[in-house]
Amino acid sequence: MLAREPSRDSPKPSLSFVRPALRIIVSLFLMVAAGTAVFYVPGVTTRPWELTEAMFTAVSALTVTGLTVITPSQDLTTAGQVVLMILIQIGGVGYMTLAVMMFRFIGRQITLADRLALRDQLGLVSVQGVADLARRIFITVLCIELVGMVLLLVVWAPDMEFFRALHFSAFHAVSGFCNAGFDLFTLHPDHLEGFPADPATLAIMSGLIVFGSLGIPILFDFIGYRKTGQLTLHTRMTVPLILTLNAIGAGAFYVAEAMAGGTLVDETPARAAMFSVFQSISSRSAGFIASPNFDQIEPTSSLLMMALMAIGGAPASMGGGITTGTFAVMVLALLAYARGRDTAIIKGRAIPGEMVRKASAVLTISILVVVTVTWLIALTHPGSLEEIAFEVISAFATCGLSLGFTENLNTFGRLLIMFMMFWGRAGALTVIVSLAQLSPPRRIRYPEERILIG
Amino acid sequence: MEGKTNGKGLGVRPLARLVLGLSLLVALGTGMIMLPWSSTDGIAPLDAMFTAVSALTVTGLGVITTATDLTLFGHVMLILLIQIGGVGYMVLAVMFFRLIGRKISLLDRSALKESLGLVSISNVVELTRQVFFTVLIIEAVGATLLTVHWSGMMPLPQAAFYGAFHGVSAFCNAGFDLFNGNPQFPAGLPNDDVSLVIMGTLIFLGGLGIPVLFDLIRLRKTRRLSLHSQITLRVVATLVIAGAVAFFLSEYVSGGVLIGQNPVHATVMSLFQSVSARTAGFAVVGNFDRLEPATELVMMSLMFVGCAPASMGGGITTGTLSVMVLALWAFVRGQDTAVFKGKAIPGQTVRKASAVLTISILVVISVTWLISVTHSAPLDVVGFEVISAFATCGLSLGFTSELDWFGRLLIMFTMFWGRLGALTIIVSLAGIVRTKRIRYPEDRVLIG
Repeated sequence: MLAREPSRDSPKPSLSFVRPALRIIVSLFLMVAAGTAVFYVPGVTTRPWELTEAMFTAVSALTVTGLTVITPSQDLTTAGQVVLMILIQIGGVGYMTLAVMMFRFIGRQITLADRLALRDQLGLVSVQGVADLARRIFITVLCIELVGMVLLLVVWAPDMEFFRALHFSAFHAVSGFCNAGFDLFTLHPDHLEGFPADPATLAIMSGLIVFGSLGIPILFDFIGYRKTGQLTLHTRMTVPLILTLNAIGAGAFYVAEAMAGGTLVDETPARAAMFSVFQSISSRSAGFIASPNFDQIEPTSSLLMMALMAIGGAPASMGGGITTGTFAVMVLALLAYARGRDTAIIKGRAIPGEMVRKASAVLTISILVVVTVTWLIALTHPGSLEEIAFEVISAFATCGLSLGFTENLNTFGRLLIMFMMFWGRAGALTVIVSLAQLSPPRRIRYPEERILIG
Repeated sequence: MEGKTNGKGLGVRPLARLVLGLSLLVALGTGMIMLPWSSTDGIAPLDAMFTAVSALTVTGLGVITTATDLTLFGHVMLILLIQIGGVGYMVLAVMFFRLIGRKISLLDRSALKESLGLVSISNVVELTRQVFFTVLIIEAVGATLLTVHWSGMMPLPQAAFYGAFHGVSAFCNAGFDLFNGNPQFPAGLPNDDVSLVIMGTLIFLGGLGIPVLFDLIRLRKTRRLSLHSQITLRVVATLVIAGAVAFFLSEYVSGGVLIGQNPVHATVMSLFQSVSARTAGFAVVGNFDRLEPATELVMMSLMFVGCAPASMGGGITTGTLSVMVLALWAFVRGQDTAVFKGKAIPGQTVRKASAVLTISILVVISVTWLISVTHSAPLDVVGFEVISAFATCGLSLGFTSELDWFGRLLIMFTMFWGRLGALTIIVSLAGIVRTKRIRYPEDRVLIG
């Protein structure tokens, strides 16, 4: 595919996007097939798995979601857990690299803009930079994960034998940074209390999750900050937004669960606050559950979690959802419209109209897909709308939080949730773009006519 | 007229006037309901206010039982309020679109001008008259049909009054009825095929909005429909059919509240419920609070989309839905502009549609959160109630009566917001910064 690169300036815009979009989908498919097959290698699982169990686990790991119909601590051997970790790593970093490269390759039609943005942010000027880029991404990710792993090891080593601590810290560092949300504590016979809820563990995990959900462009921006002395608009916009979302989420979770009476009533205020902060960070796309009795949270909190999940992480990150970029652009465009401005403005910069169009497209397709899948599952499963919608949004945002509905899914439901995770990870527009552009668009200009709105 | 000149800040004044006007109407309405001879047993001020807001915004959510808590006089007051809220506002909306002119919707104005055949501001009086007559004629026909049909099951004077009340309530998409909770009619709203067809048609026409109605009336002369009418009719038809099929599937085929009905009647009921859900709010079955979760989702979606702009309905409007979908399709096809039937949809229309969608989602989620944190009820029930209020629909899963004063104020606020139109309040809050003629350098951020 690299061989086609020189032609990217040729006037055939539609084709230059079809390939990368299709490429992403095909490669995700191939990875899923390979991942599913791995779970049938002897010595990986402790019991024979059904086909949908293996597929579901592979999809969930490769899309870094964390929804699961099996119990990793029981149904996988130690080797199997390593396999799962590798799948998560491939899904997280491999795709992240792929996404960044896609942003660079595809070009003119939809994302000349994105491509330029990314090129600026990553400091790349030519195609030769791609191999270098992949290498840099990989090293950055490994460094962050290694630091996280060492820290977790220090915290956990006193409580368990060394090799298990080593194994667990590696697994959870990867799962945390990749925002996957798989853990090895739930239902583990030696760890009946579930995920460790001490402040040190939660702080380390939160750090990993946040870094993962910032996305490569922002991480590189930070790394390059010493040299360049300035941050891009994307970074300056995304980081405050993520902090705000986390703060609002934590506050709202605390209000509903600790004050108005919910699952955190019995905790001390400090621990309740700690759980609220962690759960708020985790819900934006990681999906770890540290808070007690999570499947019994108040309706208020599940609405909040759904909203946070739906917004998700930054673009080109480990997170899914509509992304913080879409959310920010939609709100800015709304404010600009309400104030009678032609363009959305942030920090003295105008946001191009094309970005607003893309953000609306992302929002629209996301709503359509989530509502449709929720309806299909509600029609074919018993269960309340709340837990079904929660599950679907969680899958779409590749988050992995669940109100306990995952185990109720029948084969059809599992396929639908797999489809959602897949769609969410590929990016809200990727699937529909590859479908829509199978036939080339016509180059006609139409006369304008207005219709009434709102 | 001031609207014609290009004075600065002109956009704000009609807007403030509109908000002020509606507030006055609410005060007046509350007073009317509180008149001693309106209610059978006295009525608390907050209940009266809730009822007045619900009637004026043609919503139909009720904290009282209309049939038994209000006297005949009270019913007349209520129907007057509905008529004022429905038609008055419809006329207001049309004039508003025209008056507000330059700032927000020069475009809407020209669209309206085109679809209404107006060329100058002096035609507003003429327009009002036309709108009023059209509405009265449709309602009169509906009322007569209902009276004739119902005269078999009740005395003629009562049938006449019920016919008129429900004719207005249906056409205005209000959703108030005199059957539920009435000891004389234990079965609730008559759900025989004829009643449903008459009321369904009234609701449907009310939900199309004046521009489309006028367009249809003039069809014989002009032989063409405006783009707005073409899109609206298509979207409405699709929504009604999809909604009915979904309702039928989950409530009849896989077993729900329609089980035990004969298939034809179940189909009529599904169709009626689908039409009604888009903003009228009549419930076709008594045990509406026992819907399947799948149906709840369908109802919420239909309510959220709502009706055509400048109609009796609320929601984000069919216009917003269609523009968003067309824009999505254009975007993924790599086209610069959304296209429908060989006509391009201007970028500003797309921007407006996204603004409507965004603010609607923000409002609905915030209000749902606030009510959910202060009341104890499942999320789907609260979400249903809030979307129903926002869409000025009036369907409920039985939660309205459990609202405390805070919840009632919030629901009133939401009905108000929904009736004024998703953007109206935020536009008036935001103020206009048109004096600033600065162009900012462009910069990009990543999306999706």
